[in-house]
Amino acid sequence: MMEKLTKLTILLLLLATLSAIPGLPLDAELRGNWLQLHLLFGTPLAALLVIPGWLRRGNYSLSNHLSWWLISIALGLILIPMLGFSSAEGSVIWVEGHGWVSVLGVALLGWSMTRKHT
Amino acid sequence: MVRAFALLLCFGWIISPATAQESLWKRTDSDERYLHRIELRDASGRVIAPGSESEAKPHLGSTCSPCHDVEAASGGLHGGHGPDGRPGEPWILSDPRSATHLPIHRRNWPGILKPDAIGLDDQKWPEWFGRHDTGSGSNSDCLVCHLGNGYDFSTRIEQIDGGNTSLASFIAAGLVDRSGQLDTRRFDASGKVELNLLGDAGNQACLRCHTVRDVRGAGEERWLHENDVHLDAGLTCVDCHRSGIDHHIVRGFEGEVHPSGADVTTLSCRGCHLDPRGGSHGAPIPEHRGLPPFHLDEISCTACHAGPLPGDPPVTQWTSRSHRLGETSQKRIPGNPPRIIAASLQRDDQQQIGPVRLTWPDGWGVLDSDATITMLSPDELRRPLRKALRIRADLVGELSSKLEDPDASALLAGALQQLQDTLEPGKEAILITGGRIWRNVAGERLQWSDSPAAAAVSWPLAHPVRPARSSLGSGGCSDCHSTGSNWLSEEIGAKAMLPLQPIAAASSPLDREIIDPGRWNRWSLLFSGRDLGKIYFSLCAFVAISGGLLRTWRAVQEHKR
Repeated sequence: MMEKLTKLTILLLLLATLSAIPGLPLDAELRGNWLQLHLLFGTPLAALLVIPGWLRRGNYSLSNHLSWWLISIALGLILIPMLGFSSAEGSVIWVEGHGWVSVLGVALLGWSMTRKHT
Repeated sequence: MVRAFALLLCFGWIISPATAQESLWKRTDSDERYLHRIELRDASGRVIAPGSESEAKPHLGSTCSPCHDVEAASGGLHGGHGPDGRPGEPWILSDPRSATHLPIHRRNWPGILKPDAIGLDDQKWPEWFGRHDTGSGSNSDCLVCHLGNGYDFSTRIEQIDGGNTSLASFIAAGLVDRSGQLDTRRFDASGKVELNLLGDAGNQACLRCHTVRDVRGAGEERWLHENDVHLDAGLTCVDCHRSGIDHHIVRGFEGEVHPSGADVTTLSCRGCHLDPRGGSHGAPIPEHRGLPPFHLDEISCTACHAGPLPGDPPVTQWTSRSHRLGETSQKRIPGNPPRIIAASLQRDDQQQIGPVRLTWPDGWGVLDSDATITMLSPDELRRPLRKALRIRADLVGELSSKLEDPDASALLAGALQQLQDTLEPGKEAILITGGRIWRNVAGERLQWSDSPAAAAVSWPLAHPVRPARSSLGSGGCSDCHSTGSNWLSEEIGAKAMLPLQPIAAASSPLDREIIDPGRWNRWSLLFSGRDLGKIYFSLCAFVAISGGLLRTWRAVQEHKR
């Protein structure tokens, strides 16, 4: 069951990553239909991020733990503008931070999984 | 060599425009206001001695020109010159006798007639609009904008309507009495008159021609209306809408290219409040907390700070120029045409969503064989309409009382037939009203069709500006993003001058797809659970981060061992 949930988490993570691609150029912003898709994948993903921290059992590498933690931090970063703790112009930094930390987390997760399989 | 250089310098001094300016026009170059104690002059520039037997009449251009570049001052954007720029409020030629209400302007703006298209030349223009037009060229009225006190605008309107355009300004300023004689009590022993002339004569000077008033109904009290936040804070119109002697008055919209070439970025809302170079008069920097930044690109400042608030129905407005505000009248009642509605939302030429005022043309015209429409002037309509409809002064009022049929089609078809009889073969008389054109095809019934000539004319709405606390969004995202918000779904439509069916259907900004309706409706649904979403995401983030930190810490400890 837990393994299935972990796979679902990874799938949602990949979909959320893909749906964020239109917001990649630095001066662009994820908006419109792509933002709605990103939210669609991100909403259940937020709940599933609890699994790697608290519920998952087994022997995982440091990089794997670190990657999930970074992805959780990325979720925390987007809350700053969402909760109105930043100005409209200042929120760009938090949104970009969310993006870069997520990318870092996903990349590290991919690297750790590749290393595990090899 | 030195001599040649000196000669060159002298030549440069002679041709320098700045120097030429200095030699022609007097200036104090002080921030102190110059007290104008001046002589009045006639059109030929001769000083008029008060109380003398001379029949000479004062002339403003000649009176001001010894010290000021009147030629430059009477032009500029305010004088109707310079580039067209984005659309502004048109003049509306209103003639109740023919029920004509046509938006007109000298500039090339979409849907707006040029004066010559309806036979308005420089002579006829002041007859229709001189009351609120400061004029251009030597007939400009400097006093209406620059006299700090004692200018009776209502008298000016009365005089210009009476055909006394040359002395209207002097009579309004109390320098000349109604019989055309100088009021000698205003002059000192040396024949000079003291005038409180100011570069910025205060908001009242601008509001004579630029007042806009909501007309919600008979019970609506004026004291309930909010003023512009800037004026309440002590700023004047001229603080933002500035100009030099050329009178290219800054319009203040984003992306404005000023004819002088000056950078006027900081005189727009965004420039003053958000640009690091702005901040004039201590303009606060708005933080717009919680607002996704693309909103600032997508919608204009006025969309939230000057446009309609969700829940407020579109309101009919009177403007000085269209409804003769400033003239004392007992006949100005809600429902008086022209019908100007505020506000709808449109995308401007920079693709930003902003609020606009709307009006629809009413009038009679001629459809040529090549499908071009030429509107008829009230003068051309007077005789045929009187003959067909027996109209004395007010077409709508008089016909409404006679109308027995719920549809005025037959009555208006008769009028169109009368007009048709005056036209050459190949031309067809048409009526424009209710957002459509109407033709007398069946003989006694009208047939409608859509045409750009009958479509709504719009221009951006910028004032009054509301402060942050009462702006759109001050109640949260759901001010706009909720299924109950009517921000983009408020429908506005045309009204026909008399009952006619069917008039053009009312439409909302969403109907006109200024935003993808599907996407907009999905957002509205999503935002209904926004507060719950904030709690959900906050909880998830807290638990996930703390769990992740714990696991990572443990993994680090294990890794060390």
